[in-house]
Amino acid sequence: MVRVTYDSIKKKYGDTVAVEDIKVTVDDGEFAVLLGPSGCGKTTTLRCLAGLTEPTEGTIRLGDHDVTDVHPKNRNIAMVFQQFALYPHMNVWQNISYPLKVDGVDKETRRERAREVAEMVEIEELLDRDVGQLSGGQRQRVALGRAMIRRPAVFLMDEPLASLDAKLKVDMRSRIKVLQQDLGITTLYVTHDQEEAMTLGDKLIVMDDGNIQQVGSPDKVYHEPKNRFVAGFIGSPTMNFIEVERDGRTIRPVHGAAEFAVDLDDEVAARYEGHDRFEIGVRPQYFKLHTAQTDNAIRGQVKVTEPMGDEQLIDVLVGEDEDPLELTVKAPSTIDVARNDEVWLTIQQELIHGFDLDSGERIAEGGDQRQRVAASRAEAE
Amino acid sequence: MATDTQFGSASEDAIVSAGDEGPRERLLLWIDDHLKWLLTLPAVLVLFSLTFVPLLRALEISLHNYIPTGRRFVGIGNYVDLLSNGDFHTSLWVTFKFVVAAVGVEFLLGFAIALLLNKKIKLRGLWQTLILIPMILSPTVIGLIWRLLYAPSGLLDFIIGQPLLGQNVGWISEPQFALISVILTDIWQWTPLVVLVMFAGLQSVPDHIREAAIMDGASRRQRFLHITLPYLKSLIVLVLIIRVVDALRVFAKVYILTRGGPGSSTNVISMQMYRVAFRFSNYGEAAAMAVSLLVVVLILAMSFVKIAGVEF
Repeated sequence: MVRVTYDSIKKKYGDTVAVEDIKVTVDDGEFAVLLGPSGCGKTTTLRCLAGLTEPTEGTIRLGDHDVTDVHPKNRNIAMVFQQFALYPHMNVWQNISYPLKVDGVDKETRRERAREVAEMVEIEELLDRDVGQLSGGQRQRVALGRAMIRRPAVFLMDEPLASLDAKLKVDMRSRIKVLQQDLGITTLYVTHDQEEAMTLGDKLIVMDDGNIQQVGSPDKVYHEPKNRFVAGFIGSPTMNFIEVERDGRTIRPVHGAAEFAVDLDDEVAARYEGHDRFEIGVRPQYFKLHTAQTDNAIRGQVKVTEPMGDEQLIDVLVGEDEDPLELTVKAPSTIDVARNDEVWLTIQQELIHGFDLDSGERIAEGGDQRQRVAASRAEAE
Repeated sequence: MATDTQFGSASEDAIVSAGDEGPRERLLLWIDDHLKWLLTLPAVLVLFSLTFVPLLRALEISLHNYIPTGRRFVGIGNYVDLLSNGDFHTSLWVTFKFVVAAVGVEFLLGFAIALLLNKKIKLRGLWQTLILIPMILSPTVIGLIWRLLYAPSGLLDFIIGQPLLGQNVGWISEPQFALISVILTDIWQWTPLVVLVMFAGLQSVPDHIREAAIMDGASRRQRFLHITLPYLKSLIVLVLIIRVVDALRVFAKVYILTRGGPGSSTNVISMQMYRVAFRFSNYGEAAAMAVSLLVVVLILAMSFVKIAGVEF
């Protein structure tokens, strides 16, 4: 149990830069999730800590020890792989206790410890099975058990749930979280699945293009994304981005769609003082869908509806021309619309974000976005 | 009847509905059901005529004694004679020494080379190609090459015998060296096969399993013993079976290098068969040896598989 520090880690493969400059600290006992699209460098970052990949530059510290050049087996780190990486010729208990075997622990003790760990991951009845006979979920539990048995200082997990089916994924997700909290072991977890990241992590490390884009709690990266990339990557369905021009209090899209003209409230307009042209980001649930014309609303046409139980996703086309604006809107399932129906959208203005066109950075809104969300919800009810 | 489907163009013949069985459709259905047999039939016929027919013929020959005027049925007489035949026993012993030494060294050396190749060494492609060359030469050519090397005052005498011992070694003319020389030639020829198979096996060990073992704290030696070796078990058995069975039947090399001599020092079993059959025209006894050898090979192969617990 230890703090992990990446200090200016860089990794190049030939001329290709996999990881450019990683500086981040994961505190003792913290569950950190490295999140990003494939190829963003998150796995490389994890493997540098494991010792399986040698960074080109920079240092990695466990607590106060520089481990950059320490052999993996002397780092006291355990890792769970996406493909489970079980030893095919060993049975379950032999797999789980293999880290003890190489440590020279006698067979009796190994079996005993394997049994204890198997109970924690709830596979004690499978101890004598061959790993070939196990289902995906069971294999993943064996892999977890093997990682736990040595009580490592740090857990590394590289997309451990990626090969499981959706239902099992959700089940294993909560189990991993409970285990991690009970054991209190510092954990770094790699995933490209933002839902998995949000539900598991104490701290999200959002990466893109070999660099960290934002570090923060799941709430923070969701409600106060540092830049356009984070805003677009976190949240499902994706935030709607519209490039707009501001004319006094009115914003209009830069490209077409004359129907989209929104008068901003004074308070909201004040945020974008000094930005005449910027990009707004609106999450699908921050639109309000009306079936009749209302004040300050955008007229559009329903392209498709996707029911999701209590809610539905509605793709709305705004603008009559060849290249209409396509917006994704989340609405209660009680609203009854069909393809080609005419609808009107209003925006919960206090909840939109603005992004600088050049840097992609979010234009500061001031105050706390979470409070704004709470306030607008209270108002709606 | 054509079935109209919007999912691609299934041909008219392929879709035959149950209630629609004209003679043509019935034939198509029969072919469809028996296609696997029809397709393998040519190969089965070739294999049958090339393996089973000669085998049965050998069995038949082994039950007869051949005399200038014809042949005489002797039952298992030839087999009984083999039990007390000193030359046969000697050739069995020579063959045993040859197989154990040749295959043993081939396997260890080949595996070691494969492990070296599996590292990121320079010019790996070039090494791989060079190492495979001996395997693709015909045994006769190899025999001729090595006969030149082993010849009195030949290259080996020139670089080893004369500088170190001050005389020719007599690689294939001295009884105490002849078998070793034949074994060396076999090692030279067949180590590449082991390299090839084991290298392919090493390459097939998944990275994540190797890395999991590293993370679990296994040393290089432990990873080899606990992970790599068990992972390659079935390949090891396979390559040993191939080599043992093939070494038991060694002939061309011995024939060209030593003709089984000097004395009976390199008189392996197939050489003995050749002598008995074609020099002494005792076809029945030679065939009995051949059948016995087959039985030995079968038993060996099956016990290998059994010991290793491998299923192919």
